[in-house]
Amino acid sequence: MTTTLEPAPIDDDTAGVPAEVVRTKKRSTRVWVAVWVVAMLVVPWVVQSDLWMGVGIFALIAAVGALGMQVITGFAGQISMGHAVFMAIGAYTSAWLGVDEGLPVWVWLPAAAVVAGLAGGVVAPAAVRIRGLYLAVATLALIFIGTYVWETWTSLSGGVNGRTAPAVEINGQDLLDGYWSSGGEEILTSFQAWWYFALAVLLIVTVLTWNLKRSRLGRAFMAVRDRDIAAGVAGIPVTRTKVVAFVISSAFAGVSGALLVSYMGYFTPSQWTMMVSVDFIAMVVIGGMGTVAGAILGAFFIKAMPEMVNVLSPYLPFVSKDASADGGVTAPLLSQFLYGLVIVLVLIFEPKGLLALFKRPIDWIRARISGGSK
Amino acid sequence: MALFLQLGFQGIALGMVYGLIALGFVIMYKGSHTFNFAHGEIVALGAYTVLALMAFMPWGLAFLFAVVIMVVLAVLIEAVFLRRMVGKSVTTVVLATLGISIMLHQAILMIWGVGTHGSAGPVGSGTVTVGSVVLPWSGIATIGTSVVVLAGLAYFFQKTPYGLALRATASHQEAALAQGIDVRRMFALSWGLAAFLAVVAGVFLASFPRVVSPALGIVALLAIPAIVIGGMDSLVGAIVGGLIVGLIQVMGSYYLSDIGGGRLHEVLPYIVMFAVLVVRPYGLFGSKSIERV
Amino acid sequence: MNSLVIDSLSVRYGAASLALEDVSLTVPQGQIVSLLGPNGAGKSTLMRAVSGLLGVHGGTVASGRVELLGNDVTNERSSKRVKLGLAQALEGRQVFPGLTVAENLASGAYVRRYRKVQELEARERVLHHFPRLGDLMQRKAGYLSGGEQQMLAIGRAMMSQPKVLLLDEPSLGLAPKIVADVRDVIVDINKEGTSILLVEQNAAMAMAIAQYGYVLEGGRVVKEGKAEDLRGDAEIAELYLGASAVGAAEPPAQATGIDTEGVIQHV
Repeated sequence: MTTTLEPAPIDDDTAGVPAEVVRTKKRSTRVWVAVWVVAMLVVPWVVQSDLWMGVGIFALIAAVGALGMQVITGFAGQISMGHAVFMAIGAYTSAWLGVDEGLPVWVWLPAAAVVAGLAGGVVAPAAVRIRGLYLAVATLALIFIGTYVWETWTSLSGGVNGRTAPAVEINGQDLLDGYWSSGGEEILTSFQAWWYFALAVLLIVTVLTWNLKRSRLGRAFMAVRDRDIAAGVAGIPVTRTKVVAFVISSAFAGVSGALLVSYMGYFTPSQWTMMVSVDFIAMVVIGGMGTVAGAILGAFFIKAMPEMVNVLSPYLPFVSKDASADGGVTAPLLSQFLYGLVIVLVLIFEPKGLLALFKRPIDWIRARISGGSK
Repeated sequence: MALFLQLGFQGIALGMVYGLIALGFVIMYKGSHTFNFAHGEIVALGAYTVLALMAFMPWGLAFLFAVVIMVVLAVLIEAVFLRRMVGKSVTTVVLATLGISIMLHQAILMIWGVGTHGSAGPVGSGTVTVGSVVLPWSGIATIGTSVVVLAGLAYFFQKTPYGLALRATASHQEAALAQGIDVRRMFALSWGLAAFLAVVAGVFLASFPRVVSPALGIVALLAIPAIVIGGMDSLVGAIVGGLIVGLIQVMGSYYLSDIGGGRLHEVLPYIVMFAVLVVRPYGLFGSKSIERV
Repeated sequence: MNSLVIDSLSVRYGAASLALEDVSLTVPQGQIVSLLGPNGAGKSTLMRAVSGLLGVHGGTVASGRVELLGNDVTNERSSKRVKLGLAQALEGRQVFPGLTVAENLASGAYVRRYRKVQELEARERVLHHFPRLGDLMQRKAGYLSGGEQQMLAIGRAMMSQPKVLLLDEPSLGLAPKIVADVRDVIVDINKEGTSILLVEQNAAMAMAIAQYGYVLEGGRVVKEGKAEDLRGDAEIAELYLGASAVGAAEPPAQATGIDTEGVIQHV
């Protein structure tokens, strides 16, 4: 494709904007963040449907991974297919420490991050040396190598049949059974308990990502993303920067993987497919590349989509309930087809993703309120 | 010894298929500066289309119609989706092809389902015995057809004006524009060529002893180790890389069957690819200018 | 009819300020017009606007018109302009390095869809100007010297038998003797009827062979005039002709309408 010499930076809301506007934006951002946090805290009391609570929990868990994806792809501009692998590494680490060694969640969850991050650090230097697609291609290979390893290392993975995952125990209570008071009353259902736990982890990871973005390291990521030759000339160690981004993203993926299998309770080697990695790429692209909110929004969108299609399926006559060996449009297939389509549409029309799409009416309203002054 | 030759023959036959798929990747990469992630699914879709048409017409016609359909589809994808991305970064374009690959894969599942189907190849499971070596007809057909296709392709590139224009565009896009070459048409041409190669590869990939199934798209991705080993911008490298991958897989399936749970050969091409990335990232025949992605 | 008319053309790259502002330029039929100016003046931008390659570099026409052989081509793509009779030799040669000399030449002929016989004739005409290329036919263009590549670039452009030829810095990086050879060929090509717009840093060489000249600075035309007048202009002489005497030392043997006396005076 003919490319211009100056690829546009994907995100920097504050570029070239006068100071007062930046301050107002920051204030309004804080308002939105507060609103969001309050909403997230209130959800388990408002949402009655177990189905949607389940979707929400999966979305929170995925959002952790999506933030990792945002670091490597949205901030540092590298395409990685590796999320499935590092989620698996996190999952197996947590299972080994949590189940086989009986250690508590305060050990296995951070350990999942550390081990996955280290693995990323081992893999990355080879793959990021060359610009362009080599990371994508190398991480693609990792998926297949990974699946082979999980299936063959049966003492760790339980072979093709899979194995149990560690439980999250707070004060000796397995959250999957809910949270009970010492008097035997159920304070939180399992959904509510898990929601708050996942939310807590997500909030920690969100703050980390947020700070990372504003830090010098984060700016180095974005310099590498936008013009890595120029960044190198400006003294940024390009390869090392890419490796660091990859390590961080792998660590987040590890956490997400550990949470996922813990919530599911049981997992097999065959679930760490290319589609898992692609899901996370989709989250970041659709939600909006380069922003924290975009990653979280994308995670919710992707995880909610199959259910939304399910809800709509009575109105869509061509959608059938069961997957058949001879074809048929089912909700999961249709929803995956749709988000492939949405990826393409977003990239063509609004590369800043759904987040920007939502921002437009808000900015329009804001402009009206401030009397149309620019 | 006979077994070695038989395995070698099978490896070469499979390798030719990977080589053709890899060639498609490289042609699109050189001709339009895009790495088309969706190419694997185009291979799969080509095989499914041939199989579907085989129900109404002889194989030869089914093949021809499938080629037409897939070429039209590929050119449409390029014109409708990818051309809108002129000026966007490489990352963006590759992600778009990823989105397209998702759509194609789901479309295959929605139209034909998750099960396996029959063979899409021109010949069945028969074999011929040469001396003490037993060779499958499907392998002979694969190698024979591939050689003919490659010869035709070489002629096209070296001796025809369109081939020259395509090579010029791949060599230096702006200079090609300056000569009045319609570079947009060259993009479409490179995608069309790749689609043709995809159908050829698809029918042989889904030939005895394999069948048409949704996994074809993933299997086709083995062309990626082929490109990395051969060099992402080398046509010759694509074929050589493909042959290496095919031989690794087939020879490995027998000679390495005792190691690592008996499935090592399936993942070995990816391990070799990783090693190549570390030791010699440009591959066997690639040029250092690959950096200018 | 004028071969090339640029009328009040303004060009910008992306959202930046104008790279060209209100530029007007005419290349009358059968003449050589030279475009001078310092680095960054907008000469290459102007060439791109004429040839249709602005888009490749992210540029757009903000206002104005480009008229080629009577046709408004302001927004036409480059292949259309080449078909109408435009050809160019880009700055820095830009040959196809992986293709042979013969293939490079053939690519220049692509747009005309010659039959084999016609293509060979066109090639003969090119080789007449550049006999050296005849020895290099099977050599990959990437392995040629700078001067040979320049000849190839111009030869390739001539394969389509253009009526208007754009030459962007043909003398860049070439030894003086080669520059003189290139200059002579340009004159010959012009004598055969091709109108030429010549962008050159080497102002002495350009003014030695052009009939008319424009000086571009900061995206605007700051001066224009007949070659004799410009050569006599003290400002220009100091800015552009003083430093480079290359190309003026050996005045072309059979130039038309060129005042060799005037050139030598300003060396």
